Amino acid sequence: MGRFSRPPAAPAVILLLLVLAAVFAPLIAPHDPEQQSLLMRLTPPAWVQGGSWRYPLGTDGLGRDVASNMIYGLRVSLLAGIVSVAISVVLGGVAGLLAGAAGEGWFDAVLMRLVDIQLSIPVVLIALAVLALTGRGLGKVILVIGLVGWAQYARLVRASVMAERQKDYVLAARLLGASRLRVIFRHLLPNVLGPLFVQVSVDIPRAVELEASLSFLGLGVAVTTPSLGLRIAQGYQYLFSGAWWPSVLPGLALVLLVLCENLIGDWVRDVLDPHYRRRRKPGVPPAPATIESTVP
Amino acid sequence: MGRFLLTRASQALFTLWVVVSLVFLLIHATGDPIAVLAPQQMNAHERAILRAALGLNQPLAVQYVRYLAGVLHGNLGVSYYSGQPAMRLILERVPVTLELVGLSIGIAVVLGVPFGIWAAVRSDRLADRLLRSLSVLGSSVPTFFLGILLIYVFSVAFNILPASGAGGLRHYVMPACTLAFFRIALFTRLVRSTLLETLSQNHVRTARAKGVSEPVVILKHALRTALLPLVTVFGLQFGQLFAGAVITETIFALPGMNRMALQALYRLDFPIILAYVLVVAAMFVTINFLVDVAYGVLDPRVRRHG
Repeated sequence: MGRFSRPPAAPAVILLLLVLAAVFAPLIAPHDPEQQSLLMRLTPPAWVQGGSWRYPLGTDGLGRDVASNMIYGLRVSLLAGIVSVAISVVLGGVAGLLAGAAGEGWFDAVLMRLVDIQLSIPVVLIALAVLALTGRGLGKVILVIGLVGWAQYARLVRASVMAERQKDYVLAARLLGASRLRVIFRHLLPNVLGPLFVQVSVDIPRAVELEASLSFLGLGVAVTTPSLGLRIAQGYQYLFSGAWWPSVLPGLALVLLVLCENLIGDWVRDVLDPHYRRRRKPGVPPAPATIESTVP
Repeated sequence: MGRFLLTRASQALFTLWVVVSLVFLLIHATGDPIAVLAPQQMNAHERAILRAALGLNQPLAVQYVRYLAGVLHGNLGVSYYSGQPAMRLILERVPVTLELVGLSIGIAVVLGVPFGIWAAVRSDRLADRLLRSLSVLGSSVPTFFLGILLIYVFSVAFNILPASGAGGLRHYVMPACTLAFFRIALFTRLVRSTLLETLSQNHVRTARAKGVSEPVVILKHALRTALLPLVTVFGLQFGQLFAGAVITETIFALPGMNRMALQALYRLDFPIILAYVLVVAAMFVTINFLVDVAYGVLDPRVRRHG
């Protein structure tokens, strides 16, 4: 493992700061993110001419403080990323464990066909359709992102269980009289955790981006929720009159968050994925790039 | 080969049927278009007439059979808003989307493949690092934000490219680049890693031992074997590109089918949504089918175990 045993310093520190800012948003944010002051609308950031330190990053078209909205927006982004991936893990994990433990048969065949179908339709399209029909709201967005993410986990956990159950220790456990459920949870599950964790570290930034994209399209959170994607969409119309800060600054916050999460995810994969680690010896090519793309 | 094609084709048709049925169920389980369509002052009687006129008063099973029959005839009813055939409205918008998707795949291949070959040939720390950083950055910038940044730089600040609408090639430059951005890094990494793998294989060593020149070894002997995974990714990316095109078409106001479908979603215009889903699903299934066939052609082992 050597140089991969420590997380990359800069992304780790920045991510920690972003998480802290999100958690303590009410203490840090200079203003109420919802508070509008129409007299101060489109005030530029403090360092630009015409800006004031009362609004360090300026105000948007409704006179809301951009900095406060970014801090609260991080909260929404992190919440959406973590909770939705947790839903996917539980759903897909249970389905995959059951399919893997049941072995080849009709249950496994049906489940894997469903996984194939789900994976062949872009997640964004499904989420858009569901949200358009059910209406928007943060809870719904999180639920939808969680629901459409199950397939990857089902496939991953099933493959791991299938591989592990062939091994001698499982046979030994069965021979010792362990029940089927005990074998699953006590013996198979711990061995699946590594790849599961790698997938989670890849999926959290994806979920964050997906929430932002859906909110940007107007089918995500409610209009009053300070989501980064929604604020970018609302600030976008002022771009053409030269007011770049209401859309560009929340966008940069989003990119910073996702970038740090991706870099940490890369590190998690280096540490946990033995396949990848083995191939990173000098002169040997790294593992092939992941073929599933992120959120569009 | 015949049996292989037949199996794959029937699997494709099955997938298509599942998608089409799921969408139908989803749509009818969650929304009532009358609630959205009917003006506030419309009374219950008038609403019932409207419902009957649109065939929404029939039992779900009847609606489903009608819908399936319509799908087979390519007739999905008329848009609730414009009154024009839904299928025709969507099909009219297909070329714009295909141009966008085609251009961005083109950009990604034209830039990504040579860059990947270069990186594989000069496989050193610097190229490796540069690639890793680029691909992480590429996957961290959301499509919609990249589009906004491009618009700010090229339309607002320098005013050299149009920010919206369709017309000449100029209108496609920014949307296509936005969509291609992440794929350039993806293709580069992929070509590099598969090429590096094949460069150490026996047939390449044999070619070198025969005294074949290095460019010919790489381009003729190694690259051909490396094409297989590229074909898969190409197929997968096609689907992702369509999803990305929803956002790109919205930002740049390109009148493609994705933008039209999004607008139909906002106002629950069912026939348009169904026509869109059908067209997209048909494209996916076709592409996946072609990828499978390409696999069979490129690699005889796949054909045998089909």
